[in-house]
Amino acid sequence: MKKVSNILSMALVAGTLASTTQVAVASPEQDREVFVQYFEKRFPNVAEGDWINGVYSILPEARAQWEAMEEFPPYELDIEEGEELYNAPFATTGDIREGEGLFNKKFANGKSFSDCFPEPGVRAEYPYWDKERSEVVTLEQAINECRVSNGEKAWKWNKGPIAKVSAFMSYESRGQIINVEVPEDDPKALEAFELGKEFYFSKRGQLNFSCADCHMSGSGLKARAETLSPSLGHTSHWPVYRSKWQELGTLHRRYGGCNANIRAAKLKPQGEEYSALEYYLSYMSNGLEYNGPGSRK
Amino acid sequence: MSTMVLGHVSKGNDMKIKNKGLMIALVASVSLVGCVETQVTQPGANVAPETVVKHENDAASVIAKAKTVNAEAKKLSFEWTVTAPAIKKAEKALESGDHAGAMKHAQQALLFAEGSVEQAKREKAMWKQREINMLGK
Repeated sequence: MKKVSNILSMALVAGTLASTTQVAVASPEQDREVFVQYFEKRFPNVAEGDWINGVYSILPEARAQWEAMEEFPPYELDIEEGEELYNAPFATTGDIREGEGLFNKKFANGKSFSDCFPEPGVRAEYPYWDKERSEVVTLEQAINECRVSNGEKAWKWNKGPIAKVSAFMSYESRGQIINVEVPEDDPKALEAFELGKEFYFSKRGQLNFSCADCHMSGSGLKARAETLSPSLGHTSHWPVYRSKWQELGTLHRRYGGCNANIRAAKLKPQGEEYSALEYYLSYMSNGLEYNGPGSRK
Repeated sequence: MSTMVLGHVSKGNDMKIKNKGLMIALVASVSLVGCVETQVTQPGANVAPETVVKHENDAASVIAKAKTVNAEAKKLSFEWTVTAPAIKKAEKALESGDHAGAMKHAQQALLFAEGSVEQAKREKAMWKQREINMLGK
């Protein structure tokens, strides 16, 4: 019923039933093909697969400087710390650098992340649609769920240890191919995909911008002194060390920052909307490589 | 982000027009607030006590309405960051007895809140068309 209502609304807006019918039957894969074609047409000089380098794929003049920075990346120590956190028994996590003396924590069970993940390099398995739970599961969500299931407190979502462990796992996963699936046998998965797409194309905030306004039709243009990056490949290189933050941050932290820039209230990290957006945009980047963690201005 | 950049980015879609509408609404609201302020700060400031009470109640009423509408915007995940601070300013002004200031900020907050709810409703109907327009489907 809701779908019928949506289609009727679209018909009113578009003025043609034919075009809306066409959209109604578009599959995620058809959506992805059109999405990729858009950016390939807009930026014909970008080499195949280079979208994972974000704005540097379209800014050759800034790329040399960025590549020089990547030779001694600012997130290097974070990866090392993330590895320590990943391998340490839960009794010790979070205190290695902070010196909180949690080595003697009473309720620790001595297990570590390796009891939840077969190996750290599992980036390409996330995000995925969990049919039983009927929700999108992201890497950061899986990291915190591992902690909680072992009696530990969940880390805060946006930065700090969760970003470091995620950075280590992403680093171990470099070169893996993004291959997000929207299972056809579960309509709820398609709903989550559509929710992410709706978020991407919906204008929000007092400035009345959608993600697509900046990172699709505005990609390559300037917002103040910065060039707006294309959405294709956007999810490949997280977490990111941003010079502005002077630390690592997660993808959902960036979503919140983008929303704040357009004067829209930040939504909950790892909430339904941002996870759906990650699901949609990751699907749009299927076939590209994971190359996180990354560094950006 | 400046209006100029906003217009630049919006090339090829309806943003520019929408933002013109928003600007007109904002100007209209400022004018409206200005009218309210003028009423309250009329020369001969010997305002009758019952008038003061009336304005106090008016401002409180507008603040309450702004809060209600903003809660709706939040529920729809379309809250604007400027609304809550405007409500706070209105409340602070009311507490300090600045009823004209309270009304000014309350009106502004209500305008923001109503704009965000309107945006949520509009986008529910418009986002699909935007996808079609941008991607040339």
